[in-house]
Amino acid sequence: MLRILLQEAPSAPTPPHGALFYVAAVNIIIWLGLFGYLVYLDLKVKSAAARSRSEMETQ
Amino acid sequence: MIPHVKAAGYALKGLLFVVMTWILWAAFLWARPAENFVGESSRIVFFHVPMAWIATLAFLLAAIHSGLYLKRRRVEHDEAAAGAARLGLVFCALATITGSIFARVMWNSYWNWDPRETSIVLLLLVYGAYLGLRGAIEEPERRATLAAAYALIAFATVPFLVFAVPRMYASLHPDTVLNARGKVEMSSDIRTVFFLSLAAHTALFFWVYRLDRIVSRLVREHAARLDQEATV
Repeated sequence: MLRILLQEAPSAPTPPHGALFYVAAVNIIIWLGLFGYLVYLDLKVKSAAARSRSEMETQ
Repeated sequence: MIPHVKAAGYALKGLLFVVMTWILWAAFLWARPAENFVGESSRIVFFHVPMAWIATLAFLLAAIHSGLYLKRRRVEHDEAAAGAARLGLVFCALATITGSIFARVMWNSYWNWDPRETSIVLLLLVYGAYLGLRGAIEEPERRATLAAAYALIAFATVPFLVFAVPRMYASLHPDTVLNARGKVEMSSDIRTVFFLSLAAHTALFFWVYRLDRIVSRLVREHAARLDQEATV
């Protein structure tokens, strides 16, 4: 059994991805994170601006 | 905010998300590398050129708002000019760094004092001095007036440094996008990714620039409230 496992496991071929695939994948992941943070910042800043405007109007 | 303007904003951000994600995939895995470049180095055009383009656009915005400030004396224009110059400087630095990495791959040296490299360093110094000037003057009105005058003079150097110098002197730098023959000589796949990248990065810049302007306004309003409280 052990011999079968040892023979089977390493023989699986590695996926045929080149360096560019990894560069693209890393860039896309970074972009997803940055975009998400930018959306969060956008919502936060706009709500602060709306709050400030309503405070100015009530004064 | 008007509901349809809000909806259009969300739609544009969604579109930017999809297009930029596609660009990041297509830039590495769809577009073929250009001829006459070492290995895959030509792919930098999808990121380096938009950085330089946005820097130029931001410096133009800084000049326009500076002109408007001198004419109307409204503090919003001073804030808009300062924000544009700040972001322009960031994108100019990114263009310099990405260009230097390309130089290392193509010419085996990070820096060669090529006319294009020299002109971008001068641009960094000119706009670095603009921010230095702003930081050195405390009185807001005087700061805004001097900075506006400086930004207008500074922008006069931009067409010369960005467009004239690279065309006047022999350079290692590859042909500009619109080459000396007035043509865009790119294969269709490179052209598609390149122009979409230019549009997406420009949209990203305007998004960040808008946030910068809102934050500047909030800071000003907060300072005014504090002043008001102090006098009561």
